[in-house]
Amino acid sequence: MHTQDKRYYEFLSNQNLVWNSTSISLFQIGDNNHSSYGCKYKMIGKPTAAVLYSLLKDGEKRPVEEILTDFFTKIHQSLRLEICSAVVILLKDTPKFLKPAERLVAFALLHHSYSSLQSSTNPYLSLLTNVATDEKTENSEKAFVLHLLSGNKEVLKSSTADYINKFDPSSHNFLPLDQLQKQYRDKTNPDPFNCFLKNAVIRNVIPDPDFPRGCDANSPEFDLVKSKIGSGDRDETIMGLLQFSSLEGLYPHWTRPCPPRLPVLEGELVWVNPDNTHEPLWDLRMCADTSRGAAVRDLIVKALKGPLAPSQQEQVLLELTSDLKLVYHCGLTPRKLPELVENNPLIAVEVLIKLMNSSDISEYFMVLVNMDMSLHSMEVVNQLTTAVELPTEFVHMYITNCISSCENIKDKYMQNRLVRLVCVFLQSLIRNKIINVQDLFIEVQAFCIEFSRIR
Amino acid sequence: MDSLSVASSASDADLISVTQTLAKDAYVLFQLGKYADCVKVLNQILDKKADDPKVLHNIAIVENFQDGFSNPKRFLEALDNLKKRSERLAHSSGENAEVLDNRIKSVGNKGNNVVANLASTINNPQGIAADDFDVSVAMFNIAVILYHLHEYEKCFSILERLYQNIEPIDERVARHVCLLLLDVSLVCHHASRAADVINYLERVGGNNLVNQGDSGNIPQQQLTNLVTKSTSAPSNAMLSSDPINSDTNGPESPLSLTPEETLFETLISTLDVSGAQNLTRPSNDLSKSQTDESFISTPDLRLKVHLYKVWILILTRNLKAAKREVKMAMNIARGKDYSLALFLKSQLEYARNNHRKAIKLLMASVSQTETGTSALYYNNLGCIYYQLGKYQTSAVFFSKALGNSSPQRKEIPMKLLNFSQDKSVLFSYNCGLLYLASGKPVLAVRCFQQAGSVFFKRSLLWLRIAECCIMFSEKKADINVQIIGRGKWRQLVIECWNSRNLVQVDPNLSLKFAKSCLLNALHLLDCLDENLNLDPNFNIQGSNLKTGQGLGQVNSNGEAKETKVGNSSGSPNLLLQSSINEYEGLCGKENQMILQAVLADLAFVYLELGNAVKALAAARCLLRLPECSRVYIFLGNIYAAEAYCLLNQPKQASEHLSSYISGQNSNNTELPYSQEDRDVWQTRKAVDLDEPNSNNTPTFDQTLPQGSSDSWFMKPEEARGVLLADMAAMSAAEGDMERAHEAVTMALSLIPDNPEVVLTAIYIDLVRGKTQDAVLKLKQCSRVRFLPGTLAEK
Repeated sequence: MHTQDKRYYEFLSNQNLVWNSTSISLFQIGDNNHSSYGCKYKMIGKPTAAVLYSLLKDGEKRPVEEILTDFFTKIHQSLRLEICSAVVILLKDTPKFLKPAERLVAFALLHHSYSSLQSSTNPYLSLLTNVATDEKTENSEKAFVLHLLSGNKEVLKSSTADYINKFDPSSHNFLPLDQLQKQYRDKTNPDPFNCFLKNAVIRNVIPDPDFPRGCDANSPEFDLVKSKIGSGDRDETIMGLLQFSSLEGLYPHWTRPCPPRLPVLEGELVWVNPDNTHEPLWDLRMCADTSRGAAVRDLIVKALKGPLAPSQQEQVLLELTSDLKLVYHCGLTPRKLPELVENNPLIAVEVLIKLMNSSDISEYFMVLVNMDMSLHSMEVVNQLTTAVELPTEFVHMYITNCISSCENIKDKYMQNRLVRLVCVFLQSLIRNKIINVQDLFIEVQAFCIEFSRIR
Repeated sequence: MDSLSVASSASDADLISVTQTLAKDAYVLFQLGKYADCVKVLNQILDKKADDPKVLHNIAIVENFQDGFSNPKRFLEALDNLKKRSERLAHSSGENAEVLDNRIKSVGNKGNNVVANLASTINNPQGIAADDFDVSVAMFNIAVILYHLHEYEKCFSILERLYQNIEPIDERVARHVCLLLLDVSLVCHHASRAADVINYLERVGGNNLVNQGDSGNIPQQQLTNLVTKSTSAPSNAMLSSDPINSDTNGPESPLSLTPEETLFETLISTLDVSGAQNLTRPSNDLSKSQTDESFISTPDLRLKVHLYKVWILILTRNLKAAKREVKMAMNIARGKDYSLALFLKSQLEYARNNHRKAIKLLMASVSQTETGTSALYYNNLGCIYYQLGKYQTSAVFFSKALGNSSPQRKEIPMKLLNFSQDKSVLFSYNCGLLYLASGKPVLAVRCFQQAGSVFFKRSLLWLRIAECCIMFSEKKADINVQIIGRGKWRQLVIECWNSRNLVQVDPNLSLKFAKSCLLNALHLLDCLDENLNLDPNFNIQGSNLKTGQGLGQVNSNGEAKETKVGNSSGSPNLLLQSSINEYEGLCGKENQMILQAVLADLAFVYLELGNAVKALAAARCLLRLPECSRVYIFLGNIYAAEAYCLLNQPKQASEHLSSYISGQNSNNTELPYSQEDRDVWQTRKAVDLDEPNSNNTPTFDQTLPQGSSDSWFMKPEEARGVLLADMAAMSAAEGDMERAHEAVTMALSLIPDNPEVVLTAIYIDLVRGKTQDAVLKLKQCSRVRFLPGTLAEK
């Protein structure tokens, strides 16, 4: 939307005039509109005000047509909004600032400023119709406005002063307001679209007459005797109003408290403590000897395939002990653990102990639980229980697995063997207070009953 | 040694031993600071091992030390390229992917064995490939540079990656990673991560820390002792013929020496004992490591762990525990001058509102430390004086802190150390707060923007910037009245709001910018923008506001796994953990406060911007907050009512106002909130006066900033005035002039000088035909300026 249009919308609403709006609310325009209240309007400069006033005064002598032509040529279109608003204020004001002839010119200006638009979009339509039907309005004025509304160009051919002089009230038939409204307003949207506070807008001009108490303000002496206290100049006031009247008007103001600043929170102020000296580090592993690690890696690969010779086993254990980080680099992964357990349980125990702090340890445990039961796997778990603190869930899961393995095994001989092993294993765990029998009572009891034949 | 490695050709072996010797020489030169010579040696190695990433890495390090880190950004790029190259090499070497993945992140422990292993002639070319791709040192160095560039969040995320897989990392590097991570976590207020690191250091303190520097020579018995679980385990192994396990019970378990009652203290003493053992045992094959400055010694680390624990406790506001802990730390420091210890002691007193003592301690710390900390000293003094409400003194100190940082900045070439000493980014946040408090939004916003590079992840920063914008755009709301004409023609033209700041606003202080900042804050508070809709069912749950991070990590198999913190043994440090939990509760509460302020500000800003729909949404969000303060509920109601007015829905608008109406008379309003509701936001903990001799400590009442308790927000009576004024405006617009008049008269008596109320009152007078009263009100109001309209131009 162009700025001009926007101001137009806002202006219209401020004048509380009916407007055939496609009802685009100001507030849907959103952030582009800087503020709903805060727009600042252009003021009519003094020269323009002077031109305007002289045009109004010309109603005494020149035909309205000429005045209108002058108006459109002398005053730039961009100012028309402000001028019309100023003219409206002058028309509405009491005491009446404008002489009757000047008022008629002002009506003509209002009517013609928007005559290029459809008549129903003229923002001053309701003002004009109101004037035409208001009982307080002079008859000559009523008639003139009706002529304007009906598009009668004849009245424009003479000066307004002449029109008033020649006016014959009997020749006119004044329509009541509702009929006029029907005539001119039927297409308009009666709903005002602006904020309802602003819909209640009134003029922002307050008369503040300054004259001695007890005097009659309408007494002509104030106009005649310039020096008298309370006298004033009508022209000066009109010029002033033309310049200073704003489009805003006065409306009930909403008091919008500014939100408070959040008080400084505890610890919000940044207290700075000296930090460590952090400098880039030299990479000590440049050209480092990696042979020992490589040897261990090779041995681990071998250990996955078959038992290592005692000397080899000793070497692995020694290297792992001498270099606590080596365990992370020996090439072992959780997937490979079962092979290591089966072939070299002692190395597996040592490796797992060293991996206790690793983030992978739970994965290793999972593998250990899920691998096939065997003497070696039980041996590994048993040694682990005595060396480090194992998660209880892991131990429980392992025992449950042991028991179900015993149940599922087909070969009687193997079953007997496994059951004996599990018994010894459980005994050891219980003796060492690794497990609390109460926790696994049902499973263990079932196990004992089922395999009571095995001794 | 019984090696099965493939024997390599003699020339290979020679080459390797030559490069090893050269590498050793280079390191010695590096430590001596002879950088030029060092680069020469490194280039010799490079001739023999073209494109070796580690050689190139060290060359980059030395060169940057040589020119004083004049271009840290370029250095950063170089490191990043090297890191990427190592990773590429690792992938292309075609090893088993599973192993590889571990290796990329990990490091061997060869670091300190270089010298020892020189004698060893076992050379296995295959082995080199396996360990060569480690990038942890490069990553750490990247983090260091980022830290010095104050890119704390980036630094933090890199260190997090290292820390997630810290066990395999070489001990020397791992310690540095931990300390840097501690520093960064504390700057970024990631208290729980810092506590994790402390836990980790204490946990591994039992084994890894102790054994450092003793590779190969540890009595086996002691070793197993350390991995043994802490309750003395019985050693009757069922199937065991294991020589290692046979001697599980060491002659003296470290725990048996310490009769302390809490687990917390036993852990410390574990460290204590192990540290002592380490000291007494001379490391025979690592003579080099004794002089290696890059290695953080165990006693040193032990003290640091203590101090960082104090720091975390202060951050998490567990002041009692912090006080106990700081005493222990001071005992360990045993009179060594340790500025961090004194600073922390001072911070503790500051946090306890014992400001006088805090100042004393700060002064003591500065007298015995180098000039580098003087900026910190001034900054911290500034904090203290700010809390005392002495903004001017505070401002002096803050600007001194900034001034003390800047000369180092101009020094050319800039030393890396000076980078990090320059904490002005942090100071500028304080400055911003100060300027904001003293009503200088233009200066304040500049400071906050500087601090933004560090604090951009904190919602509070964005709220503060928005507050600057709001303060800047605050109307100097005077009513202008043009006097036009004279005598009986005299007219008064009221010009509303022509005082709005229409000068081209700095985009950083515009209300639009404020809006964006507030949306950022909401985002950081986890209340996304989409939540700001008009859905009546939408609720912002307080519990959604979390500060902890603890993100899961995805391992090589693509499964998410827990952060490793205590995943095997549980967190041993109950004290820290409970402090953190409590702190997170506190943070949640603070976030609630921040959220209220953000939503109120957002509603306000949207109203100012003329966006009634969004303003309404924000206000309604505010009103739906659980446990929303009554002060903010009042604001939410007022903003919502105004938004409804702007949307032409007066019924809904008056519903928001009518909640305060009591009794039959529609103008009989309650106070929207009580004095206590308002005070809650102002009160700080009273001075902690457990020191009998601290009777000269300034008490809080005396030292409040001039009228600060009054300036926070409207008094309840004034709020009632606002309410009545708005009710009057609505009645007036609806044409109920009697009610409007009554309400506005009360409002005027409560807030006589509010221009909006005066305008509404004048409006009502004019509509009621009381022109005289209107003129009288204009003449009586101090916020009205009479301007001699055309007369001036005559």
